[in-house]
Amino acid sequence: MDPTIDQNVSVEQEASAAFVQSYFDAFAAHDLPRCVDAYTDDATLHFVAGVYSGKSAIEEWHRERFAAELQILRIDSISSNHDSVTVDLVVASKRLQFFRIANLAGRGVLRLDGSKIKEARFSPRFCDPFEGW
Amino acid sequence: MKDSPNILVIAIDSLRADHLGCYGYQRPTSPAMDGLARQGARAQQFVCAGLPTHPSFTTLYTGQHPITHGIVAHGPRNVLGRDAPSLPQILMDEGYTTCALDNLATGRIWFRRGFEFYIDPSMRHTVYIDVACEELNARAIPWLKSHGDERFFMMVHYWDPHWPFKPPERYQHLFYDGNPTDPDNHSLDAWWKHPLGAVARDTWMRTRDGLITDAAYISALYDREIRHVDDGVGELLAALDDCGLAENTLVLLFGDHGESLVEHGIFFDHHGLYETTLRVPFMARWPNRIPAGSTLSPMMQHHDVAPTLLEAVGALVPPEMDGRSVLPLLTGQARDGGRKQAISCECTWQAKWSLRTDEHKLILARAPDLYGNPERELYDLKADPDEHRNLVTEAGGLAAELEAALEGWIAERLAAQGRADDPLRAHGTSLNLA
Repeated sequence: MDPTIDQNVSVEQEASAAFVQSYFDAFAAHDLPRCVDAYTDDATLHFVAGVYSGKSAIEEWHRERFAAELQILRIDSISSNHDSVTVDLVVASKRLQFFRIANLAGRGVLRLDGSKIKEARFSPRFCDPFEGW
Repeated sequence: MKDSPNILVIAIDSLRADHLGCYGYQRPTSPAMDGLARQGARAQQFVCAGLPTHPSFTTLYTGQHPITHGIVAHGPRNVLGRDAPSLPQILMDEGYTTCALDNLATGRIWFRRGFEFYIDPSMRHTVYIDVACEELNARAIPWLKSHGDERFFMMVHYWDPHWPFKPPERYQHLFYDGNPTDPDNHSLDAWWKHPLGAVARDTWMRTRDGLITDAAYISALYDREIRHVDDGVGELLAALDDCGLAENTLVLLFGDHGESLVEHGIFFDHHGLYETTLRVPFMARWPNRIPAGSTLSPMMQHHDVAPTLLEAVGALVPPEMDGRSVLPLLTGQARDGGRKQAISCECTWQAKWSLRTDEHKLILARAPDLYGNPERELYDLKADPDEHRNLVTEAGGLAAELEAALEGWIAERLAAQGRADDPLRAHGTSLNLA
């Protein structure tokens, strides 16, 4: 195997991971324009079992999360593979608090198209679905 | 014991009785379950003792009412005692090979007690309730083929009719031909104001075409999921036939609890002690033992299942079990029996007790509910089966009589356990209303 190619792949993956980190930084700062700008015009966002298609719907999703005071408590890992980046994180929100859920482990899988998110999938990671209750 | 039957328990989450053909539903949701009912016995009044899934399954396995086993809600605040009886454990001790296809033990370890095999394909999903009947059957059927020469107890827990309702594409043509995202349809507006509705609005109510607005569409999705799981039931029962096991297998099928679709302003969830959530299907097939096509009118509850199965296999029923065997009713050896009253509770989103007789139901709240319903509700189930007209004022004498019976039962059961606190008050709901 040509080590140069390996190195290029690694550099690309690092760049992808850095891009995704910057997206989550924007999310943490409730920076709506930056968050929405991270997506392609025809992007799709899957949230648990729901689907948000297009930038307008994706903007609405971000507004709803900010209104629910969704906070990223920590990012456990960011790993990339080809054009997708997987992020394991732990979140808390006003809405989760209402259900007596102090925090929730989640996973985001983001498929990139160049330097934008083409598809995002956010979902809880249920090891123990009632952990924290 | 040598001739005792195999046991196959099919528990279907969130399955209400009145959406099956054999319970009078008009849509063709349940050909396989209707067939099972024709081959055996069907209970008209099988009443869930504890909503939702955790209380109900704990009741199923322990043969105890929630007031005894103490699991009155989801969540870890209550833990099942080690001394609680366990149906799978007893059957294992009786020589059965025990197998569950389920995922409840991921959250609460006691759901694994007594199961030598615990198969959980939901581990492949990020959300455990997404597991589909096809995945469970893909593991259950090979297991049946490889263990069919042993006496077995298999429990299959299907989740398909539990929200979010996401039936496979092949059911898309069924039961609906409108516009699910019609912006002029406001049939779900009231739901968005409820905390559970807000969660649904931001998750599974969102489609590529926008926000679902038509409640009738969601009800159709529920019915599609019933048809979906019905196909799964049909496949599993066909496999039992193919393995030559049907003749000597006692099959029980029931819902753990029902589902409110839009009734009483409770949208697409299983809370509220109304018939939609309490009355579940129950059917039993045991060739040459249970007469085909029989319909049983006496009330039964989930804690009656374990004693019934233990009697069927000739095992002793532990005195700690509250339930009583309904096997004589199922086999036609007895016509009378069942329960004069069925007591139920819930404590996840609401804290309520209910006492149901053949004719009436009293619902008693231990905390204000989120819908502003009164603390006491009384319904005439014969004249008003949909429970629209609260008679608590105009039939105050009856309401007081039923309330005294309910409070007396609660006090008696607590005293027998040396406890004083009503478990619903002690636990509180799983909502943080502060």
